[in-house]
Amino acid sequence: MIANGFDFPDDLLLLIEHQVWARPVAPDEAVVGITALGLHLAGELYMCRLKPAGATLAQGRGIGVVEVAKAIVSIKSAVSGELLECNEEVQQRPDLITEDPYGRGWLARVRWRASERAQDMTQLVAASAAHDAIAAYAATAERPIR
Amino acid sequence: MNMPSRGIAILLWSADPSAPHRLATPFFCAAAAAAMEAPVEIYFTAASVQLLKPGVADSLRASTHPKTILDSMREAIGHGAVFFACRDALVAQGMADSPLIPECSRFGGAVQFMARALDAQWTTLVF
Repeated sequence: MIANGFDFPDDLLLLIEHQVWARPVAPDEAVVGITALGLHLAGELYMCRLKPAGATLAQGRGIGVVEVAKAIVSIKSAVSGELLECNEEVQQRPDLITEDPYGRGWLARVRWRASERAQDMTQLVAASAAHDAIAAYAATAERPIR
Repeated sequence: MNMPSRGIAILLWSADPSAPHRLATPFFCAAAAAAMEAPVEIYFTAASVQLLKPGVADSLRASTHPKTILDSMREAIGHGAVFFACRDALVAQGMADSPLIPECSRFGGAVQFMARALDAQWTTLVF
């Protein structure tokens, strides 16, 4: 799905308010990351530092920090659960996040249990159905969107 | 990074309006720590309290970047940092009866900062 000139793969679930995504990869696991639109709004990304494996995550709360041009941005988690694995590669090469936000630029793998999934799903939107919601979000963005 | 009970207390001592190029760093560090969900306190002492006077931080920049020092202060606040003004420093700087920027509504100085320094759950930095 393309919205406002940005790609949102159909297999993703989006937390639109924070421009982050989750991709279910197993019955109780999801991979999370930042959307291409979110990266565009943040600007050039210099550094990424994520919470360690074992950390407890809450949807909409911090999973890590990125440093962009003259600013610090807290990345929010799209889902709740236990952080199983961080993408160490992006912590060494943050440019991967911008280069391939839905592939090599993934941020973390999260244990996403059924109980947490049920609650989180009330705030998530399937990318395939998110066109209008993204357009509405983009309309309020502070940075010009192509 | 997963340190839910550990805080960062920053003392501003030589970072004051006379050296604008030094002013962004402490607030940038505060923002980074607060964004990592650590409790962050910034204690303004000596001439650094001048940054709490309306109009001062807003007129200062650390470099040619358009972001003002007030922008940096607000960014730290936005991530959850808390500002404390030293009452003795306010008196020494002739600001005892002056209104402060709304971003700072608390007062604290040597005692509060040293309490943090003596607390193993807190890390202290001085700028």
